[in-house]
Amino acid sequence: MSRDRENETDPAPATDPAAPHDEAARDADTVRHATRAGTNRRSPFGGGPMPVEKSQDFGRSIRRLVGLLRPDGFVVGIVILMAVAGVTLSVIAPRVIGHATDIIANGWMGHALGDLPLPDGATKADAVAALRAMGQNTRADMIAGMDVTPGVGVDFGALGRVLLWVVGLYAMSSLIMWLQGFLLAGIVMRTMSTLRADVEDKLNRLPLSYFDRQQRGEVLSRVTNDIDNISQSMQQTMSQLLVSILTVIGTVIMMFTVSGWLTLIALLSIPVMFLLTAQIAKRSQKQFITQWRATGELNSQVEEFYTGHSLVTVFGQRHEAARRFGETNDELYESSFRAQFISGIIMPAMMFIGNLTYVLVAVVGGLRVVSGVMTIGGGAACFPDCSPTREWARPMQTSSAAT
Amino acid sequence: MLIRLGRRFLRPYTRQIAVILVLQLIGTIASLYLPRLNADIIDKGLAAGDIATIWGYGGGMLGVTLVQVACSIAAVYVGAKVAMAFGRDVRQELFRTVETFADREVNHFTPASLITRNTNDVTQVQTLIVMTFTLLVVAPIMCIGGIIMALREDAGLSWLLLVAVPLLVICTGLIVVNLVPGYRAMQRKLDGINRVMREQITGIRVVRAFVREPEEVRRFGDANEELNLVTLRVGRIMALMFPSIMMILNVSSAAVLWFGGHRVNDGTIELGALTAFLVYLTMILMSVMMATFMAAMIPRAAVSADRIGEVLDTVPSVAPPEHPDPAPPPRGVLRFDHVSFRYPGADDPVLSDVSFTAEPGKTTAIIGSTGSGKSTLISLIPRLFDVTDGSVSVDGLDVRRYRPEELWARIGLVPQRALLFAGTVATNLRFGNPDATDEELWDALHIAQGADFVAAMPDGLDTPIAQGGGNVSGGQRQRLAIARALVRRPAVYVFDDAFSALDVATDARLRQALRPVLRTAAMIVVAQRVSTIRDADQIIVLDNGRIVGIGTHEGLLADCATYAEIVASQLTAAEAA
Repeated sequence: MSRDRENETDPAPATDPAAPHDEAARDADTVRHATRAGTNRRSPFGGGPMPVEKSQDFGRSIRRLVGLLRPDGFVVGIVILMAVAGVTLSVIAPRVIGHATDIIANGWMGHALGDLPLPDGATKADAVAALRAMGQNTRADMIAGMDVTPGVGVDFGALGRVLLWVVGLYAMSSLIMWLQGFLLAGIVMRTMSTLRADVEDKLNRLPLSYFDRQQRGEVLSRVTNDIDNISQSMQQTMSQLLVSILTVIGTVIMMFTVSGWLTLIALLSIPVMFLLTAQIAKRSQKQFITQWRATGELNSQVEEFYTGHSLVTVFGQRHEAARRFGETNDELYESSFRAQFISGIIMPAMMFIGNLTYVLVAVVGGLRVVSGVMTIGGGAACFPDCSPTREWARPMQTSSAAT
Repeated sequence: MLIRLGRRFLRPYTRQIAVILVLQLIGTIASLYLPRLNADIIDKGLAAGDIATIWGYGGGMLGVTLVQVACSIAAVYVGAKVAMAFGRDVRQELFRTVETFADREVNHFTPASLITRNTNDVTQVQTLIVMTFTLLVVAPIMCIGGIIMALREDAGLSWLLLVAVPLLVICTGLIVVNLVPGYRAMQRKLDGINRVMREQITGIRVVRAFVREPEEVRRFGDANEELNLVTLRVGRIMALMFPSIMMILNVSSAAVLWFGGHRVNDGTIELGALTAFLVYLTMILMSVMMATFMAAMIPRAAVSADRIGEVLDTVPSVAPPEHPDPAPPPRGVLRFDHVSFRYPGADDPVLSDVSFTAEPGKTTAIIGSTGSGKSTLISLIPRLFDVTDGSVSVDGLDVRRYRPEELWARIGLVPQRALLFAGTVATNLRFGNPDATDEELWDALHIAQGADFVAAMPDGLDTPIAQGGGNVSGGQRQRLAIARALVRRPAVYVFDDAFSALDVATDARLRQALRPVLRTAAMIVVAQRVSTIRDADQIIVLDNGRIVGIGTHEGLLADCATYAEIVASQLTAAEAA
């Protein structure tokens, strides 16, 4: 984006009042501005969270944002309601898929039990008794917890009905989420538009002395970059954060209905993730600050040498300039590598904890199913395709990126 | 260009890249193996009700998970290292290239643009490379691996992949294709609105003075409205993305359960295999989605790569001679011999047929209106440009035959813009002569009329100077720049309008002090003020790139109309003031 901006002249203030038309200072400022604009923008992944100036009073900023949203209060309410509804549906759906898996599992077991020496029309009780007689007590326990008829396969009528439900639920949930996103886009657009118009209005009412006192570049950066930033974070976080948090809550509730034990395991992973993210974030922030500093130094060096290009040349300083640039460049390399690495660990670490939970859920779930306390489908609902832990990893990343 | 850039700058890291690929391969295979083990828990453990088997496979899963995380972290480590090294190398190469540029190339790109290319554009490409190493290379491995694993679980269900994967590709592709131009348009509108605001802020006095607020508010409102429309469109396309992906994913899951249910019932596959197939389907679809989004990042980085490439591919218009001649002993003679200069492609020459000689102990002044070619003339001396015709020689040798360092060592340039560098007073003065003693620095300062204010500074020579010299006044800056040139003890002094920020008294004292120094050196002065040059030994009057008069003040007053005009205009201005 800075590309599009750099060619515009940015008549930012000449730093020296004695030379009001100092071209060098002007160019320099263009660049400073452009660079800032470019780096403030958080790149989706690679750049990682930059230590942007922290807002001093987070609560106040939030209240202000809420105030901006007030005119759209009704629509905002609808959007939140829709998010809740959409998430509820998408959380219930895996439970229903679990039912489908159960139906298949029952048929599967029914087939397997068909191998037992049982008469036609034997019931589950007969099978359990037969297994106990054969000394297969654990298997008997499991079968006792299932809805099995020996020798009878999958009930496709039931499976079809359940799967139709699944598709229906997801279709509803997708539709609602889409509508919600559609409405949200309008709200964000209107809010940002109002914010911009407010700033414009204010500019025209500010006393001239304000413009004399304040550095022009500073004012410009406020009315341009900062609004862009708010707009971006609003669009991203508002919908993502809301949906993610709701999903976590919903998934936890859903899991409790399946098995308290599995939920406990999965829940344990949340504080672990939090701790880990906090630790990583703390370290990476330090690295990002050094990286930031090195970037700043490099930028001002480049700026200096390029604006004074002919001087550097005629004074025979090319090699010296290249040497000094090289030093800063190496510093930047070191610090940006460290920052990149530490922040890059977050994803594998989250995945690891996710996988660990997956393993635990698989094992413990397996044991519980075997002891007949839980059905296979119930376990599968907690399994990775709807992967609750991965769902959790998302808001975790969002929130860690936001700090 | 993106590919060329990658090829050129990633070549030294081929080995590390191979390591990354192997690590990601192992890590992804480990991820792919987990569902299989889970399936074993169901098929072998659950089916038989065998607790020991469950524990056994659970342990296996744990091991695989550990391998996976170890590989991922190692890959991130190496990947970050290579990507950042790439960024460092490109930056260094860009810097090195720009250093060899002549003024023409620098002006062509503009310093501001060169700076952005050296910093932001490199970061863009670097980010893409990080993403490539951590995510983009994983996607195809995950996709292909997932397909293989899914086929192993049950080839009979593979036709579901044939439907789901293309569907997802088309769907996300359509969204991304619509989104990218949307984003571009948004950026343009955003820049547009920023431009309006910028103009308003910088021109606030004019706006207020002419009561143009309503007009400006309307202009702003239009720009805002345009931005709103684009934002809305982009936001609405974005809103489609997540729900449609979820829909495809879940409907295909349901389809797998339906058709897979039949196969379980037939006894073709086990239940565990079915659940594993389900997970693989998710993995495949996720990797496809990831790859599509990544692909959307490429155009942006490609633009940056092009901009970097433009700089790297530029051949400096002024090249040092292959076999430079030995430099003659320094005397302080500068000669322009029928010099003409024109920019390539331009119709009118900037300079035509300029001839004069500047000798040691003599001051040559150049005067003329803006655009008469004064600055260009000066730039020809240190070869910031090369003549198109004729020749410029210093101490009898054509400047194009010098080793550049030897040529520059003879020239003391004081530029129009007295630019100082961040550091201290001393580091600035030693800029062209690192070995100068403090005494030499003070000598130069005395001549440049800067000794008083430097002595009055809190730390004297060690007083810090901010970037660009922002913490000293314009006049002080100019005197420091003059001292800086003096410290080099060159054979030819070039003052490009260097006295403009000095008051008349200082100007006079300075010229008085310069006299002894100039005994062994030639001095070229470009000036606007007649008072600065009236004592010059020869005054050259430039008009439209031609010499229209050459001589002393008195002589020219008598027989050069252009000179007389300039003098007259400045006198009137002085009288009027």
